[in-house]
Amino acid sequence: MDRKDILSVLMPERTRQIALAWSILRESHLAEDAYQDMLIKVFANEAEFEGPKHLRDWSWKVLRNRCYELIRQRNNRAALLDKAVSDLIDSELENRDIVELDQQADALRACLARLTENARNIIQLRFHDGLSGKEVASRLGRKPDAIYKNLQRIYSTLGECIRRELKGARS
Amino acid sequence: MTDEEFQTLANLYLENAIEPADLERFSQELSASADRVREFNDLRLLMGLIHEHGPLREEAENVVEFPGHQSKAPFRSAPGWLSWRPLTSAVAGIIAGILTTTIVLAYTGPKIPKVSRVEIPLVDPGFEKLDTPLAQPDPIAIATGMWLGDPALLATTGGASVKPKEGDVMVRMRSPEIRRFSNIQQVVEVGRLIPPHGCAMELSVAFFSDGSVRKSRFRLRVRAYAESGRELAASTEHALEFPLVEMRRQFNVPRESTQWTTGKLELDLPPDTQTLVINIHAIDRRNTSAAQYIDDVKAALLITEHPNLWR
Repeated sequence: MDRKDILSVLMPERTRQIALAWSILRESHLAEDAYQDMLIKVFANEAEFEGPKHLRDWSWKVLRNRCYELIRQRNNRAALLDKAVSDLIDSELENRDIVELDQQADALRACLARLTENARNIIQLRFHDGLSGKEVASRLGRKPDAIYKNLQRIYSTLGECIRRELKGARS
Repeated sequence: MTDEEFQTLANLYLENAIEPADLERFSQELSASADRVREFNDLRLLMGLIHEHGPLREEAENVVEFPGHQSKAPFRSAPGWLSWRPLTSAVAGIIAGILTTTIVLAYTGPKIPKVSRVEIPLVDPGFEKLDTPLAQPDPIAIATGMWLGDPALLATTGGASVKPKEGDVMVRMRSPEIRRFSNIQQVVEVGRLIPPHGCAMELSVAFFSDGSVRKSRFRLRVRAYAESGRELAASTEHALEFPLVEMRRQFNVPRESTQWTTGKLELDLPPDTQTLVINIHAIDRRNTSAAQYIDDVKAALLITEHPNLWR
């Protein structure tokens, strides 16, 4: 497969693969690094792929392994699910059809703009600046539990809002 | 388990703040229900979307900072080393101490540590040679004595709106299609310059972002290795994943900025440092039409005569 073919297979996977990396590593910069490392390995082996399915399966496996490797390198004491449960949930994520990705992204932007300034600030610190929940709490002079609850509410609000936006766009 | 309880545990799990007993319950709930698996993955996907597509604060505020957020140093593996900033603070403290006690302790105050600055011999730090950086597809090879970078990079003398920070040439950073940042790299051997007690290093790079409707982002990354450049080049890609120490720092240039801004990174180097791998990234954010330039790269070792200050 040449690079153009590889990209046409991997780009539609990107958001799901970033979601996988983010949820294992729980840090934006590291998740992006893991994804880039996976791409480098894919291109280093570009002659080996027998077809889109082989490439796709391989990329997921490499990304997942890279995430756990990064955790080991950092001596990270991340709470992780058992392998059997991880395999179960990762498999669902990997095989899930993502439709309307562009619409979802547009909806997300619209929904983020409707959040309160405080909520946007927390999302900014957590995702854009790459701080952990505890660090966000420290930065804002609040308790970690309060930030966790805030994040939970924000995700719930954003999820509902995106669903409404997509429904509205379809009708 | 109620929906709310499940959502709380899912969130605590993703925040790495879940208690072991709750992790067990969370795990059981996922194992027993395909709906819960889908629900959890909805949350993971939402996080992926926010990471990928969240425009975030810059749309709501024009206030940006430079230098920007300092990213963590996840691979920093020498906890015993002090950073340069505390050191300079310590030196400042000693100086302040001397100034306030010289009257009664004339000639008996502590000796001020002498800090010397040794330039690291970078090749073509101002990109004045039009044949560098040499274009390299991923992964960029380890080769000393030259800048290597993405094929899309462009050495340019500038136009009406942008002039080089120094000299006649700068580099325009342009991302290849496979990723969202452009990359330029130089490998430099510094082993003979490192004192027996180690030292600190400082890297500075001038950034310019032309026509940005949002803040523009750059990243500096330095990794130190105990191997020579030749040994690194001959080793597997895996060897690069284990630097002695590593530091990354990210910088945000304000939107519609009209001047060059200089980003600096500092890193403590252990005594067995032989080689530095320096990377400069310009991050190409979605919907950003900015042209991102770099120029005037400088690197220096900061050496003190007092080894105890480093331990």
